[in-house]
This record gives sequence, C-alpha cells and structure tokens, in this order.
Amino acid sequence: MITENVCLPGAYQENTLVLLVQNPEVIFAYWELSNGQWLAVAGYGGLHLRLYEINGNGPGCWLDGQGKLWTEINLPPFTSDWYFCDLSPGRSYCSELGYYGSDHVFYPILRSNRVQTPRVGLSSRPGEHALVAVDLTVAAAPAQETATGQLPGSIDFYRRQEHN
Amino acid sequence: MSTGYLALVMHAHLPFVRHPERPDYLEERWFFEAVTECYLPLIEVFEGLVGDGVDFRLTFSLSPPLLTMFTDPLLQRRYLDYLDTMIRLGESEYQRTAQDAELRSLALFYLGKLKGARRMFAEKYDCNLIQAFSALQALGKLELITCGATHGYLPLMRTKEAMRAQIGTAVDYFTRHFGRPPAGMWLPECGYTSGVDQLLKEFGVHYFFVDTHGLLHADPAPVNGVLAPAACRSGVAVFARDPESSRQVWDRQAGYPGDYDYREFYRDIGYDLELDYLKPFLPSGNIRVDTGFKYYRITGPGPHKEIYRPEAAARRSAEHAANFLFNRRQQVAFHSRHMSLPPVVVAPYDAELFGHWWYEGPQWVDQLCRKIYAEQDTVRMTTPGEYLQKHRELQAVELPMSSWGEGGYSLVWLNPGNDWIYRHLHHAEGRMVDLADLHAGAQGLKRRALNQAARELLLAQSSDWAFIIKVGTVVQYAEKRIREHVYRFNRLADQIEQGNIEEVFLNELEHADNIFPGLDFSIYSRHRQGRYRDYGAGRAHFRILMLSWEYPPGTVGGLARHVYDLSRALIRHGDEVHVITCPVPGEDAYSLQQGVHVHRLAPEQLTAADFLTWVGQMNRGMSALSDRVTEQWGRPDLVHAHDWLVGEAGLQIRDRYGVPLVATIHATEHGRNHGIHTALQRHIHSREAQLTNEAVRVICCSNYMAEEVTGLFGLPDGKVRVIPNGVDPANLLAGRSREPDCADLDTRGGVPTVLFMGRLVPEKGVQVLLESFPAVLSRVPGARLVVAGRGPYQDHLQGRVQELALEGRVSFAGFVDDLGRNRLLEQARVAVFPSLYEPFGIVALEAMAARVPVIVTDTGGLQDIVEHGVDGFKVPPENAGMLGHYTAELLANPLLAQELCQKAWRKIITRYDWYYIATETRDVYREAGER
Repeated sequence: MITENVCLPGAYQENTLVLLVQNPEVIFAYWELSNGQWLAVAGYGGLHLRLYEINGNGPGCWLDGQGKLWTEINLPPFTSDWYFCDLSPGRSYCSELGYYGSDHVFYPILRSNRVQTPRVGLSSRPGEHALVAVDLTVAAAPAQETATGQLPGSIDFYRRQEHN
Repeated sequence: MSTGYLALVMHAHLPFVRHPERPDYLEERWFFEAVTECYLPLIEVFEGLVGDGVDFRLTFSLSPPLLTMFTDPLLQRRYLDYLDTMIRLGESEYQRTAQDAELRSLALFYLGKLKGARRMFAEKYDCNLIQAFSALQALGKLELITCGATHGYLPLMRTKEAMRAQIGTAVDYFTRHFGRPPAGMWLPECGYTSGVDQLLKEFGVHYFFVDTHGLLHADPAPVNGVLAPAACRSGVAVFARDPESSRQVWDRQAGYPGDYDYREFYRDIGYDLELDYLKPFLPSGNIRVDTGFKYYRITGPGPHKEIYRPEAAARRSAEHAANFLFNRRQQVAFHSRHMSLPPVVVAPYDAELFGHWWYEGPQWVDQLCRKIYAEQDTVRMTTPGEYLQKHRELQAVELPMSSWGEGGYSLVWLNPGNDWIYRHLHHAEGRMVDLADLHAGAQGLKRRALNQAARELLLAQSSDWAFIIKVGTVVQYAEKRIREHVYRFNRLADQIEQGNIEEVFLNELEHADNIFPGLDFSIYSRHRQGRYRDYGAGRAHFRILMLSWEYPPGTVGGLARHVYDLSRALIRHGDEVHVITCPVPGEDAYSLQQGVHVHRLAPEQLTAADFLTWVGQMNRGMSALSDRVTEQWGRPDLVHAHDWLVGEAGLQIRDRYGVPLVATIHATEHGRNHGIHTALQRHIHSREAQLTNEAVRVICCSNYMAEEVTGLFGLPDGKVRVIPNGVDPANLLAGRSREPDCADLDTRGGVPTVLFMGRLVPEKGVQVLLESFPAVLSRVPGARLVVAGRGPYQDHLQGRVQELALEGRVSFAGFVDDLGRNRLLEQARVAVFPSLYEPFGIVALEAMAARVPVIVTDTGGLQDIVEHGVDGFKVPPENAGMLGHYTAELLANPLLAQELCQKAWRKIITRYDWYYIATETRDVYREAGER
C-alpha cells in the first residue's frame, strides 16, 4: 500500500505567490496559478513579476504609496520561480504577479507575503542598553497522559504484542 | 575565583532513518555508526569524569528524531544485529592480520571497543541510551536540551503554526522522556527568524543559540559582543557561537581534527579489501560501506598513509585540550575587563563530530574537562541555564534572521538545487493548519489520520533532506524521503477531507513513520487554546462582566451584534457571561438568553436629554448593577468594556473588585470624523484615551484599527491585540431558496449581478463603484448592479446613475433586513465593497460566508480579510478603473470566481467562526489575568 518512488503533484490548483529570503541580498519567489486564473489570464499578454521595497512596519504587504517598485521582470513562458539578486540588507520586500491590460495598466493577480532581508554589520544605534529580564518560569508538564503505547513502534506497543 | 566561563554545547541529531520495510537499509547505519562511535564513547567519557570526581558541565541537545530512535525497539534490535556482525568482522580481522603485529593490535583494539559497546548498550542500558543521558542530567553534569521536532529549518517555513508545531512537539516529546521541559533549545541549523523567540517563550524555553553574526548584527549592537548572552524583548535569552573556539575545532586545515597523528577517516577496510572476504559483513553482501576498521593515521596531505598509533593520538588530544584551554583563558581574561557581565565562551559542535569524524574527539573532551577542573581557576565550565540563574537581566536586542550554514543565512537549504521542495512543504503546511481547524476535536479513525498527517508533514520538513541535496551525497534518498512524506500527507489529507479514510493505509503509515506517539494534531490549529505553561495552572473558566450600551433586541449597530455573538461563543467554552446593558422596551431587567445572563438598567435611570449626562447616568447605573450581579453570582474574574461609552463603569468595577479590565475599541471618534474638531469630540477622544490607557489589554478588530488606536493614544507595543469579528454562516440562510454553493455562480440571479450593501455615505465609496460600471458593461453587457442600503448620499448617487447613463442597470434596493440581505446575496455573482474608510468590514465576511466572491478596497479592516487573487480581489480606494476590471474578470471567468469563492468559504470556517474568536479572546483574558 505504501508506494515507494511516488511522484509529487505537478500542481495544487491554487493561487499562491511566496517570497523566501535566501540571504541579505537574495530573495526567492515561487508561484502557482489555478486553472481558473490561467484561463482568465490567457486573454492578456505575458506575466510580469514585480518586486517592491516597502517602508513601514505593517504586517501585510501594503502598497498604498509606502513602497517603491524595485524591479519588474517580464517573465519568460513556463517560469514558476525567480531569484531577485542584489537587494539591500535590512529592508522589507513584497512582490506582485500580474499582467498588462489593453489600457497598459498593470493588473496584479497575486500579491506575496512580505519579507525582510536580515540587517548586516554592527548596528550604529549608539549606546542604547535597555535591559530585559529573562523569563525563567519553569513550564508545567502537559496535562495529557503520556500517550506511549498508542502507536506501533512504541515500547509499550511491542510489549503488548509480545504478551499476546 | 574564576574570571569567565566555557559553555561546551553538543548538538546530537540524525534524521529519522527507520525502515521497517526491509532489513539492511543503508541509511539506518548512520544511526548505528553514531551510537558506536559517538554517543557511547561520549557517555563513557562523562561517566568516567563522574567516577573520578571531576566537576564538569556540558550542554547536550538531543534532537527528537534521535530520541525516538534511541527508544525504538526495532532499531534497538537491529543495532544489536549490526554490532554482532561487526564483532564477527573484528574476529575475522584478528585472524586475517595474524602476520602483522601492528595491524593485529589495531584489529584487537577495535574488537575490544565493539564488545565494550555491546556490553554497555545491551547490559548496562537495556538498549536505551536515554537512561544514560537522564542519569547524567540528574547528577547536574549535563544540561539536556532539545531541537525542532524533526530538525525543520524554521526561517523557510511559511506559517507560524508550522514553526509552533516543530517547537511545541519537540518540547512536549522531551518532557515526556525526561520528566521536565528543556530549559533551552538548539534551533535547527541555528536558524532564527523573527517570531521564533515568542514561540519558544510560549513553550517555556528560556534560551536558544545563534551563530556569531546572528547576535553581532543585532539592533542595537550587543554591548558585550558575543561573549555574553542578550535577550529578545519577549524575555528569551540568546547565546552566540564564539568564533575563535569554533575555528580551532571546525577548521578543515588548521583545526585539531586534521592533525597527522589522528586517525584517517577515509581509509576503511570496507573499501580497501577484497569483496569476497568482506561479503559476510556487508549489507546485501555486496555494497561497500564504512566498517569502522580504519588502520591508518592522517600522516600528511598526500595519499601515503602510515599505521595508526592510538597512544600517539591520545598524547595529541591531551595537547590539543591544553591548547584549547590556554586560548580560552587568554580570551576570558582579556575580554572580562571590558564587559558588564562575566564572559561565557559558547563553543557548540555537532556531537557526531566527536568519535565519528574526529575519532579522538571524545578523548579531547575528557582531557579538556579534567584540565579545566584540576589545572586552573580562570575558566569554569557552565551551561546557559546555570549562567542565566546568576545573570538574568540582559540587554534587549532585535535579532536578524541568521543560521550557522554556509554564508550564514539560508543558502544551504534554499538554492536552485533544492528550492522546488518549498511549494510542496508550504502547501502541506497550509493544508495541515486548515485540517486542524476544520476537524478540531476529531476522534477515532479521523483523529489518527490527522495525527499521522501531522507526522508526515513534520518528517518531510527535516532540514537534512535539503542539506543532502545541496551537498550532493545521497540525493536520491533525500528526494525519495521528501516525495514519500509529502505523498503520504496529501493522500491522508484527501481521505480526511473526503471522509473515506483507508484504515489499512493508515495502519501501514503508523507502523512505518511511528515518530511522536503522543502527537496531537491540534498543535497546528490557528486557534490553539491555552499556552503550554497554563496547563494545570491556568484558569479553566471565566466569570465575565461584559459592558455594552446596546444588546439585542434593540440593535442599533454592529456593536450589539458583536457582543451578542461573542457572549454566546464564550458560553460554548464554559464561561459565565453577564452582559450589563441598557433597557429595551418589552425586555425584562434580567433574562437568561441562550446561556448568557443579560442584566438591563431600569428606563427611569436614564432620564437625561443631554448626551453626556445620559452617558454618566448609564455608567453609574451599570456600576451599581454590577454590585448586585456580584452579590448574587460572585466576584467576576474580569470586566470587559466595549467602547468608551461604558469606560467609566469599567474602571469603577475594576477598582472596586480588583479585577483586570479589558477593552474592545470598535471605532474611534477620530476615525469617524477624520480628526477631532468639536468640544464634544475632544471629550469623547479623551475618554477613549483614558479607557485604552487604563485597560490592561485592548482588543481591536483589525490591524488597521490596532495601528490607529496605538498611535492615537500612545499605547505601548503589545498592549493592543487584533481579534477580528466573526460571522455565523447560519444567520445567512434564512430567506434563501437554495443552500449557498460556489458551483452555481455562472447561473445565479438570471443575469450577472453585482451587489453592494452598506450605508449610503461617501466613505462607503459607492460613487466609485458607479463610475467603474460602464467598463463592466462593455465587457459583460448583461450585468446589473444592486445597491442595498440607505443614507444621506442616496440622492447624489442616483444623480450619478443618470449622469453615467446607467438607468436600468443600477437599482437601489433601499434598507434591507437580514432576510432581504440573504435574498440579495443569493442572487449575487460578485459583491463589491469599495469603502474609503472601513474599521472592519463585516459585510465582506457575510458575502464570503454566503459564497459570493468579493472585491474590496485595500484599506482599513478590509485589507486583512481578503488575500488578493486567493480568496477575492483588492483594489486601491477610489480607483474606478481597477474596480471595473476585476469586477468584469470575475463575471467573465466563472471558474476563477468559483475558485476564489471556495477559498473564501474555507477562510470563513477556519478563521472567522465565533468559537475561534472567543478562543482568542479568552487568551487575552488569560494574559490580562496574569498581570
């Protein structure tokens, strides 16, 4: 029943655009479009991937005038991921995947999560030395009973099998 | 008197390599070799030190997969078989080398080690090495800690829930084995990313480690450099790797392990001797592997190798230990002069380095501990836990993302060779989180399937697979493991969703991937209730005084609805809720409504015509009424006030009973009026400021509101919590002729219908919607727009309809009640909410719950609700062109509309269920009670 050498699904039929930080200067993006979205974009030209540098600390990817377009890639066909290189450390980024309408307006169809590249070098904030007390509270043990013996492979399980 | 400390840290980890499907699985040998060459020799060293009265300290991280393999009966049996084979090989080698005294003494040396290992493993520890570690911990010599559940690399996970499952499962598993939670955690690959510290705190972990730059590049810069811990603002301590001591051991060229007298790892009889001779001892009789019989020393850089001499190597390891100690003494003495805390040199190593790669490593540890104890006073050994007991006030810093991999960040686990794994892992993460929410409380077969799905996801996440693919060693095996676990996860998830779980399949997976017997899938829930530390200690149920000026019947706005739904949901959690509110004609002064105690003021208490006087009367009345409630029902656990109107009563009750005050701010005077312009507004604004400052926690319904409230009233970070409004899909059914279904989108309502609901005021943006509509009509000629609601802007809007020549295309439905709303939603193919200002946007949730795809403006609370292109579309406010474009897209592409509709529905039931909203509210109550 457990098949060895199984394949991974080619697609999950979902719309998703995800950014991951590789290092302070490189961000990886991958995406997938659902069948419905593919049908919808078929009438337009190719897909474009935009990367914005975002200011502010909001949790989402808010583009209301806070971000600046860092780059835009006219994606080759059949692309499903991209590496953005030469970025700045210690900045927030967010991406949009979209197409241009006949009115030459960019219409994003997906917006990514927001990521931050790690800052590098010694911080120049001078002399700030706020203290925080480390929380040394010892956590209570979980309330549930120890659940060994439920699964084959656990010691109790095997002991039971041997008895039977 | 010592000047500073050395914290020697060993991280022991192997991926879960247990293959019951057939014997002789090559990868299981990783475990067997590590037991023989690393874990047993290290235990032997520690026990020797204890026996000789040497006081030493060492921090030892045991990863959960390793703990599982230590206790697994199948692997224990197979290890004994393996040892027996190796002992037979040793005996054969003893015969074979009869003509060569030097080789023969080495063969005998290894044979003795193997026999010793067997005795120790089988007889002394009854095949379970956990006992040995446990005993050393009990003696206070080892500080045992743990790692991520399957060594999943946290910075590349997509959801907080997946990180929580890695951390929480590990802590839980460790606690089950050792009877107490781990004080610290070795983050897999030292991978830290923002938020990890909060999850560690949630599970009671006091400290973790980062690589040197992980602390050095913190903001602000660490005043003590990397030779003292700092702390995240969450109160979790962070220790950084010391680069000097690292280099001395790790460095390929200059490091100790490369010394010419040490044993050469790459000369093994498994590769050197005839296959015919080796046959009986090799897996499958023909696969050449490392046997551990290695007869040569490193000798030099070239291929020529001379015989290994254990005594010479032992002398070397003693010299290296002395050198290491000398350097630490210098380091500590030099730096202590400039530091505000005693220096602690953190020297972390993979445990598998010692004995396996660096054969003499355990001896070096032995010598080092002895010398530190007996030969000097400058440096003492310590553990992070011990250090923190003496120094818990640390500098607060914000850490950047970092790891100890090549380059210091995520390159090793994310590069063109292995980046393809993340879409599969992320998909599984999201699906697991949804499953945990959709099947909360599942029992029996379904529960088992959910738990197994969680195990498969965890196993797929091991950082080892991406690492192996990157370094190109056993790539096929790593890829196979990822494929298999993802496949097993997806197949289980399909079966759970379709309600047809194949028990035979599940049984097989439970046998094969039997890690974490006690795992509970609910750790993946977004709404996981109660933090770990609250088990047993926390309060199970609350008695809550809920203050709201309005409560149904007698609804004026959304606030009444909110308090009504929240109170009923709290009842489902077993809480006792007393709502204190204004009178409504025909309602009793006290009533029990669906479990909620509703206490109303008397109408004669509220006589004032002047608004503020009336508010004063109401607050005095509520305060007095709360006394009567308390007299009859007992002291409340907390008081929860909704908006400034009831703030005064909230404060009085708080002071009188000494209970925490929680406030929910639904909207602000400033936001409603785009600023404060009048004396009355100023008064209300100051009341809001007072309430939010005095309350111990403030709840807002959106990130937008939280930011507004925090900024307006200058509240400290962490005081305001965002908990969205909920929606009850059952309320959207009455009046409909059919069940809501995303599948009927292309036929609904006869003609393609776009719906707006809301008050007709400029900030709801209907004027933008009207402007967008001609473009919609040019692509979807039959479309129509229904505008439901009333308000002062109606005449203007109707005028715009004429100016835009939209007569016959746009209809104004006027005010609609709940039934009317439901009927309109049943006809709609798209719902549009083009607000310019919107604190939350409950109508968008209602449309999503009624299976109508939504388009909202990217503003206020609406921007939290919709994920663009995933479960709806978002457009910038006042952008008619974009609005028209996406409206036409959804009308013209029913398959896309249906996909977004389904995602939106899933979001409603996994995130906006009132039961979950109440769960999150209770977490805030619990926090408020702790303060």
